[in-house]
Amino acid sequence: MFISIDHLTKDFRGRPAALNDLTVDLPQGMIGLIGPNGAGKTTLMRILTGIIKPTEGKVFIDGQDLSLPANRRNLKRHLGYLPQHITPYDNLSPLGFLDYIGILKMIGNKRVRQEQAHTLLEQVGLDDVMNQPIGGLSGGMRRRVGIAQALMGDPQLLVVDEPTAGLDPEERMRFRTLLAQLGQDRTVILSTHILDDVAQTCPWVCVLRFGRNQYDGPTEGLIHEAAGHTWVTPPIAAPPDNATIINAEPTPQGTRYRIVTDTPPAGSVETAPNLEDGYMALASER
Amino acid sequence: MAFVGIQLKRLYRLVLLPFILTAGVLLAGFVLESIWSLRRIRPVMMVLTQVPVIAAGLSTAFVLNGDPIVELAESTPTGWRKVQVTRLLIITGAFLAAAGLLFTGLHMMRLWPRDMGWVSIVTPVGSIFIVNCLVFLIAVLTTSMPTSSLASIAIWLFLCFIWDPYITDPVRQRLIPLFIAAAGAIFGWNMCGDAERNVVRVAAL
Repeated sequence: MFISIDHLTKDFRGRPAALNDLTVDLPQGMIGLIGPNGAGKTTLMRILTGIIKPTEGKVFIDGQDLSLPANRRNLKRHLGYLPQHITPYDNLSPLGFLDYIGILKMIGNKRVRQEQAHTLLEQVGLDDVMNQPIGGLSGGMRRRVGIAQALMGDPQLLVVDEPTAGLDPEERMRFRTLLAQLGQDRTVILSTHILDDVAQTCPWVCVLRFGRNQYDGPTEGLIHEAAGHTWVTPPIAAPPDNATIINAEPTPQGTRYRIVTDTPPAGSVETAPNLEDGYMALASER
Repeated sequence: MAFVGIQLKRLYRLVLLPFILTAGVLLAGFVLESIWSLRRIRPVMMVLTQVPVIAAGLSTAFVLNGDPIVELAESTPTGWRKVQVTRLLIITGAFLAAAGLLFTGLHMMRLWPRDMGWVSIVTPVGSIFIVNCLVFLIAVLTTSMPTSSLASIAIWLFLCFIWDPYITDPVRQRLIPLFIAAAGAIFGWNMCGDAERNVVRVAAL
């Protein structure tokens, strides 16, 4: 699915515009949506999923204008959405919950729903607990129930908001791998603060800041923003001025900083940038 | 049908409640009839027949609040309004059917308080309809179970102590509040169709 966002603005009463004249084209595949808190990521995802309407501007999905109710209804039939905060019904089993979501997605045939639910629960590794109440599952398993429900109906557009927040490293890796697999044959929009997840899974990235498009393009391109500006300082006592600190590593001689700057302290060594560096370099440009 | 079926499955305990209450009141009437005089039983029945009305309001407040998957429902073609209205219809339908049975049973046993014939069926049926429609409106407006529950009790108190004792003609007694309640439900129905409001209100909780 090709998504075209054209001069999108969203105002909420009494608050600054959540989206401010945002224009961006998103290709098929895995797309990372990143930006600080309040950048407008969740608002954009809610507009893309047809839940809320923009104040101005339009969204086209495969050329279909989402401002038309018929197109929004049609989109919702082919959409998978994993909101940031989803609490599946505790008293239902994963199988029962997926069946419920299948009904909400208007999959009328019970046999089809059950088959899909079984397949998806196997895919997310929950086949052993598919009949146990969700209330007794771990946080990671609940998140997997969340992604499985999003996949009911075999959606061609999958929108996931902070899917790995709060997961332990093992669950996070598993989730990341699953998303990467899903992105092979559909459009997946992954909103996250965990840049490593984007670096590992998304060939395309969009950076939002204050509701505006700060960058959209290949992930490599964002990394390249920090090329020639990423340094590792020698152990020093105080953080360097005029630099964006990416991380700090304490050593017996002092603290070694990884920084993005044009004026590194004496003795700093230039290093190959990663997505975090690129993102911070972009953030310091504003 | 699958959608109604799954909602029915989720609510089945509350759907059974009015019939259990009805059976309890009818049984109490049946037992008391053999040991007390009608004059003594009717005040007791006046109290007991109010229990389903209170239960209807509280049950409706319960089923219309506290669902954590509003945002998810709004991202599907079904939508939150359809979920809420279906739940309202199921719970109201169950309480109305049970109220009909309760009236029929007590009327046949000549135990219904202030019985004016079959027309008096509008009293229990109307009460439940009024309470549930208004609780639906309050639930949509506030998305709060405590507020909706308190509102349901306040509406019942109004009907029971302020309205019903003074407007004794059963048709007038129910027709005026029925119109108001129906108007409230339509207003709630409209409001409930605003996906953005639903999602933002739940996110704000």
